[in-house]
Amino acid sequence: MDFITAQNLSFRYDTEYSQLKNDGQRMVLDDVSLNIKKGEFVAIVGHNGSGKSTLAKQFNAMLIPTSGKLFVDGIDTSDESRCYDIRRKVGLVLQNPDNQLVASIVEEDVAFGPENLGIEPSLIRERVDEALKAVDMYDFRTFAPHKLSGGQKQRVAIAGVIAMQPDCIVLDEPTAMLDPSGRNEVIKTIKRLNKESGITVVLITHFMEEAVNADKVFVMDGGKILCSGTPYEVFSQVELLKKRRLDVPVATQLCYKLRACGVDIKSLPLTNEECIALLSEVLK
Amino acid sequence: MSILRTENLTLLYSAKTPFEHIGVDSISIEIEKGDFVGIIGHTGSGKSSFTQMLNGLIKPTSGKVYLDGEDIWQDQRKIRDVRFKVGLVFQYPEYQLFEETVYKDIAFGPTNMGLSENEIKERVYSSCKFVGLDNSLLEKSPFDLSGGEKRRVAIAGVIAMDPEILILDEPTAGLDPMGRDLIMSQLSAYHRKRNNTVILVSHSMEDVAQNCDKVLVMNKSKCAMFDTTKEVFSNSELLYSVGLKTPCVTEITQSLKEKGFSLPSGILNVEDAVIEITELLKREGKL
Repeated sequence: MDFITAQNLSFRYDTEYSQLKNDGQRMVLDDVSLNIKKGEFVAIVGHNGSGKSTLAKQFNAMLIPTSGKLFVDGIDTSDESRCYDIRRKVGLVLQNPDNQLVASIVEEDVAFGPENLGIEPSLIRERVDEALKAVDMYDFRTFAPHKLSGGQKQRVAIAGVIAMQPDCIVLDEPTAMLDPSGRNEVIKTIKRLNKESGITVVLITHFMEEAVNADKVFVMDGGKILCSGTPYEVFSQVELLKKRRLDVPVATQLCYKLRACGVDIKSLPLTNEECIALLSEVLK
Repeated sequence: MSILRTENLTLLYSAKTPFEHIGVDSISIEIEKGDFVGIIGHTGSGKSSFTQMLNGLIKPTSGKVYLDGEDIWQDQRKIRDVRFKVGLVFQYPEYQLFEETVYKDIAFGPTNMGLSENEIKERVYSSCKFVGLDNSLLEKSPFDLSGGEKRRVAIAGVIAMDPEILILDEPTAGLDPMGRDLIMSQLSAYHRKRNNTVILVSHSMEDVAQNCDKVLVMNKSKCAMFDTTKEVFSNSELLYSVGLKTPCVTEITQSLKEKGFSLPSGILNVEDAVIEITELLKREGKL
């Protein structure tokens, strides 16, 4: 079943400012149609300014379409009376972990969401513990957030969203500010939540190596969807992506170039492991 | 002679309180004039604290920083000159823009150096060119620019002071691949043309591998390794043990090498990997 459906969704930021600048006509999202199934892991990639984050904000009704429709679990996001229902279903995690932690103790921070939902205190305790265990941060529950590393903070932010028991988590470049091991922690956590708890995941990222983990990849360019499909289908279109100055995973790029040099490579790999296995065969 | 040298450089945070903890632990390195040095390390490893001591923004608890052979803290009154000589671009510098126009923002540094109007103008234009900013942007408000443009304005503002040493703290974090490539290629062009010393703090192993001659690896406030880029990235064991990794292409070629294929170690970019692999195939008559 489709969890999120966008039908010819267009959006522009209609502010006093944009009217002043006379560029109010520029569509940030231009006729976007897409479906995201329940339990699916979707990655959205594209340049800065391609509309990725704007699209993400549509998913939990922070922004509503200028024209066209967006349905979340069958609810029309333009129906203001259902706004809180939508936000309960779709949680949002942002780029900078320091901007989204509000309390001075980790477990209090995670409890912030459920408290605002008006949940029974004993039940909040349960949910907080569960959420912290899900992101592997339970041992740090009494720490102050500023004593944690970037990756740990970001996992606490994810726990804060999980504690609200959403059906879907939208993550807007959650690893942009992290070091390699922090990045790895967060991606592992996201994958686990998707596989084990069946949470629908929408991951916006600049790292193609992360997008490879998804079931489906959408490439955004100039407010439109340039192409979509499984990571394999998308990243094998090396020429199209290169032309738009987008990256492909290093493993794919390497084998693409080797193929151009006449090396016999039938299908392009996505991950380092696949690439190593493939090249071992070729070199043998 | 080295342009910058640190001697047992140490920084204690909240010294003599119960919250005392070490930020930088006895780092001694030497940087030659014209070097392009990368600094890598996990978050909280002390990279930023270390770089902020290099231009005297933070005073070390103990140890020394020598710039052109002189201890920068020898005469407190001269510390301002040190900051002109060692330009520092912070993390997320786009948040530091404050002037009404891009021109004024870039001119802020040179103005404070007491340069003449003409010199300032010249420096603003030339630094714009270095970072690839169009002159038509100069009269715009910096807040009207895109994220990548703002960041280049901030970098231009530091370059305009013509520092002998340029330090950049994660200049490409949060940028898309295109913005990242643009900043990195402008930086390496800047480095080539002016032959200045550049220090790059980064979480991107790819950026460091492709641009730097030498790399300082920091772990838990200490220097874990300081060597040529090739040596550092050949030592994947050490890198993994401190929570870092090698660039993807290095990881792939290293694994192939470990499987017994005769490839050199420390391949740092895709182009080299393609050459090495095709050569190997040719040698064995498979291509």
